[in-house]
Amino acid sequence: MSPNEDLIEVCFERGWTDGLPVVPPTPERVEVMLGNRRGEADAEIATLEPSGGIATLEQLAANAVMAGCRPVHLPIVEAAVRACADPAFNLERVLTTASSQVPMIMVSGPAAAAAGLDGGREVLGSGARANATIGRAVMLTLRNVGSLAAGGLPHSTLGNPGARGWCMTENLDESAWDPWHVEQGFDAASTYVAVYPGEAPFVVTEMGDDRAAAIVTTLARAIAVPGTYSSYFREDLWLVMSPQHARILDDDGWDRARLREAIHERARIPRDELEGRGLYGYLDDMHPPVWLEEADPVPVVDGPERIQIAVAGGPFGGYTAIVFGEGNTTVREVTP
Amino acid sequence: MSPARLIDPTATRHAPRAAAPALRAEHPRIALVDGMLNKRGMWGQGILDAVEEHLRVQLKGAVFGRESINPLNPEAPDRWSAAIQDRYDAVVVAAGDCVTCTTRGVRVAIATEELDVPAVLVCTEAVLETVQGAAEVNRLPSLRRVPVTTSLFGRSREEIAAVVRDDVESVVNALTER
Repeated sequence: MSPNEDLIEVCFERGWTDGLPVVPPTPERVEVMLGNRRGEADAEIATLEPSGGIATLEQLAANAVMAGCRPVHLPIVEAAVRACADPAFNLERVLTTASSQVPMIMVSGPAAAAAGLDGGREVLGSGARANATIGRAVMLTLRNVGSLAAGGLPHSTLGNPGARGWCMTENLDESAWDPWHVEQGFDAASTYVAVYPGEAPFVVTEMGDDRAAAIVTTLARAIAVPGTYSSYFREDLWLVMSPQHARILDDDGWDRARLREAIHERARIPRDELEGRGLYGYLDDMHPPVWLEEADPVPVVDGPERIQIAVAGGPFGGYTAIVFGEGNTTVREVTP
Repeated sequence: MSPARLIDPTATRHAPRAAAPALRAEHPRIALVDGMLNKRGMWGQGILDAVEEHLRVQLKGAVFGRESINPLNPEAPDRWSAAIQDRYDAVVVAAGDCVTCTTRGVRVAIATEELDVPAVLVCTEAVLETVQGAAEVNRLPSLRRVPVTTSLFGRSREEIAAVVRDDVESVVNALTER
């Protein structure tokens, strides 16, 4: 490389980017990113499909540099990559589907705020540096190490606005409920990264009737839609609930457990609206829908524990985002 | 000033895989593999019908077996390929109009090639780019492939077989030349 070469263009030419300019991963920047872990640069962190490439800590650091991360973000990036590599996440299926799932990253615990993650306004956008760069670092790692970008991959028909990175955290200041990881039974003092194969958020508004029962009813109706991957695979489903909605529910004596039960009970689709529609009839031979014989109407999730709920977003506005998807949420602890 | 250097953010490149030799067996046993996600539409069977019709003429004495893979099944392509290794001399995988089944079909074909059994992927043109990408990430960019020009949606098995008949003439070349 000539000393006068534009390193940003070099990164483009080498196919390292996600279509946007990256911060060139010079040895000096990568060393700063690694910090006191530079002796572990060759440590193998995860094997990433579809290529089976093995991501080392140095490669994670290089991708984090390119994304614009600060060193304090690297442990979160590492935990997210490890969660993506969990066989239960089924990374190859997530990344090689023609559908629109991408890894949605939710960080829960004290390190989220310390890293500068913002769970307030624009939480599903990319305003805060930490939100934007952590999500981007994970996707760049999947792209560059998992060879996601080789040739014609990815090949999603419509894509996903979160494909360059999707990282969020909770708005604990405005939430009366415990942090997600505490409610899930994890150590309150630790921080965890949850990763879920999510489609673009479907935002539901309920402000016309501000009673808790109305919010639950509107949500359940919105979830019970034929034609979603959730309605066929019936695996995890995420709700990103605004503080306003969560506050109304909490004031009326609802907690997450009660909300899960209610959604599981009410978000159901009549069998005759499913058979032969959406993915039914297309995948039946490969993934027989035996559940159609178990209940009518058919619950969208196969159990209330499948519903994950995070409270996030700005302090006002009666919105809840439904994140349909296909697959399981996997979790890894952030180790500093 | 010394030239700037960048830390490579990509995985260490593994050695490329070796392709299987060309098909030479007399009276070859050929696996015709339906790799489609949508089995009910019989798309894969339609393509394989046309392939079998050609190969019966071009490879005298060949015998055929119909196999099937479930792209949603997490069973490793290596295990599937090893299970059929001793029963066939060549494999033809039909895949298309679906990314999940195409990438799975590529992995099955490559796993078969690693066992020295030549494999060819017959795919729709719409997924050719995906095939190339998947072949590259799985380190066999020269994976044998024969594209068919039709799309599959809305077509019956018989229609597909008729439409792809000319396209699949080159399957025999893909298997017998290297």
